[in-house]
Amino acid sequence: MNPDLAALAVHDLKNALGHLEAELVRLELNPQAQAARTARQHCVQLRQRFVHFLVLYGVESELKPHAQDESPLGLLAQLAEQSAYYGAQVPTAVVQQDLAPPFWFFDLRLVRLAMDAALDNAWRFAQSGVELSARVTDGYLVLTVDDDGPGLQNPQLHLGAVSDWSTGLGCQLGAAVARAHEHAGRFGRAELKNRPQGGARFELWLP
Amino acid sequence: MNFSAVYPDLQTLIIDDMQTQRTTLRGQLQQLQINKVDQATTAEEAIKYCKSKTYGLVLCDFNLNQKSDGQQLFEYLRDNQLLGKSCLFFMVTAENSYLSVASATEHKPDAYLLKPFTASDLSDRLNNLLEKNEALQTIEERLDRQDYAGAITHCDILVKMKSRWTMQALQIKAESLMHMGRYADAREVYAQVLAARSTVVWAQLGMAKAYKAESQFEQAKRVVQNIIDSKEGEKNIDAYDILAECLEATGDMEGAMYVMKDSAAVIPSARRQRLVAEAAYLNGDLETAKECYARLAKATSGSVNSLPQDILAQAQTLVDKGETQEAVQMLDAGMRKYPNDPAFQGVSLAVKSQALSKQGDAAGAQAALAKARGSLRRAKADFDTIALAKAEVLGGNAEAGLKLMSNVVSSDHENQRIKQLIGNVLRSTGHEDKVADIIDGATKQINSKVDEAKQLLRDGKYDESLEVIEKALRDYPDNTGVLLQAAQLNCLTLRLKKQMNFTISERVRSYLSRLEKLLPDSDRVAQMKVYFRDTTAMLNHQGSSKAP
Repeated sequence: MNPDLAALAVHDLKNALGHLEAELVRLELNPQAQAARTARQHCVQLRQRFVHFLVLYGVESELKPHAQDESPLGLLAQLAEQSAYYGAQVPTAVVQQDLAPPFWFFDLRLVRLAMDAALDNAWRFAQSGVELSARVTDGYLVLTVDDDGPGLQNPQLHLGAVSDWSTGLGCQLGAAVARAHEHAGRFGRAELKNRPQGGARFELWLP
Repeated sequence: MNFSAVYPDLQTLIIDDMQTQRTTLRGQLQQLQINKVDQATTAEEAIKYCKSKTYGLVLCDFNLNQKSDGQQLFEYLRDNQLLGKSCLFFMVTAENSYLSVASATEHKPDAYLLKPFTASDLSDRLNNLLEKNEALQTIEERLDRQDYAGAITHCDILVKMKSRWTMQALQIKAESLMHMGRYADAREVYAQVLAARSTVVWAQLGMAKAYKAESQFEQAKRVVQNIIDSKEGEKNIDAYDILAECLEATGDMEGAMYVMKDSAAVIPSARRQRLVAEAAYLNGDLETAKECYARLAKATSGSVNSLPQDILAQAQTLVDKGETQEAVQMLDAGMRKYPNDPAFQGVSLAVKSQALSKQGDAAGAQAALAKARGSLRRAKADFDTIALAKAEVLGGNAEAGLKLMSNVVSSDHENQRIKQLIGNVLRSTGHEDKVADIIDGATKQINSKVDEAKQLLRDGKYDESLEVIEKALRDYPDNTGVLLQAAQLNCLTLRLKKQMNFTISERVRSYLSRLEKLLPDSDRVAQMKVYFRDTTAMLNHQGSSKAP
């Protein structure tokens, strides 16, 4: 992991922890169920970001995926179900289910981490909802996270160069997870782009 | 799919040495309405619980902060059949140790849970596994009845449906074909999977096993070597095992030992160290055997995986190396540790007698030997009998020792390992000139009985033929070669008499079940099972077609 990015990510995590501490202080003075729920959601998000950081920081050169046959729809359904727990303010739905293949080979743990990071970002910007879908294009499984937020101000197709998501940790994670998946000489990739109808689209392409 | 309706019935065991972690897990289970929960703080406590109850779910922390880690405990519970068939075992690990824990294991648990996790994560993993169990239930029911053809039919239905469980169905189909002895058909299924995804390790392993079963050892070796060389399979212990078996089958015992050594470096488990130590001892590489047994003793000290047999094997290695003082101390300590294990006491005394003979303490050696003799019920092809035979020879009773060794070979005359061990003993005790006599003589004696039975069958004297082979089995009940021949002669008798006979078919069944215990995972036993199934199917068909 790039040392500058690592330092930036830790700095960002430290700040988020500071915010959480402040929330807890307020809660101590004025206990309220809603405020406790929000603090808990922030705690969950912070934990997720720590996990993302550790996944990237812990590897010396590249991630080693343990790909097995998994259900793309099963994964998306689980992601959608957890939205309330993770503090999503907008509904999350799995759409175009008939396009999803019954199974695909990928590392469920790594792909889930990448999708968690993308979802976290989508929830932050979405106006009224987030949509998840899975399809097969050119021999790749494409997992998609669509939001109806303001979209990207400066869209770039390759995630490695994008640094819009706070410290860029989420982008780097998505790109690293995608790259780690290889089949018959073809590698995965992650893309972040504007949707024609408005909003942003994250795509994880897995060979 | 949600299976939360079954959660309240799920008898669950939490194994964790940390009170806070146990409380957290218990709280998460309660959120899921899983309330039938027991808690164990140590491996020993967990074993007691598993002996007294049948659990549907076990949550075990990897780091038990003790002599046994979660993986060792899991393997112990599995090896001792303390986990029911439908029990789900979840290993709880920290994020940073997940990769090392998950990649370097001999048996994988049903799932890994990475700390910290939520009740919802736990529920996701449970639902996935319960959904899979439900989808494969019909197939599993057929497998339980050993109805492989029925299982294959249902696998084909799942594959045709392009189900989420297509790969599992193909895997079970190929394994069923292997059970039926249809190795070429199994290879076709594995090839189908590998055409879709060349890196699927279970399909590569299956392909290698099918080649091995067909005695195509070079092809099998090539496939497993590919696995070991790959990113996904460099720590695949099954691949090392198949490679070692192929080398052993082609007579390269030393090569097999080096492969086992590599596998123990990949997974330094107690079981691995034990296998390498045994292979080294077998090859007469006493230095390596000594090192491995010492490592094994250190790794299992105080752990659930420590075995009394390890002390005996380690002491025998030391005696063979001439380090008798250390061996005697080790045996004395072992006898104090296992005072109520008569078999252990007997073999310990046999090995101790060897050590005392080497030290020149003839009286001590004879006293130990006299007691050791009393504990041996029947000569078998095992470590215990060989230890006693060696003690006899070193104690000056060459005739008794050589007779015992001859009996050892007769007890399992096709067992190459036993023959090699007996050869080593004869060479190291100055009886090199008797290697051919003892080994070949005993082998010839058994083979002549088998040949006599075969000749009687060819002469149409079916009952006499069976009498001869049954007599050989009564003399040497664990002789796998004779058991296989007896199964075959009984099947042939059924076929030649063209009549189903309950007594004979039950007899064959009992031989096969003994063989399965003596030679687990043996291709020859699998083939004999197929032959027996074909025999009964043929006779049942004839019987039904004759009916009016």
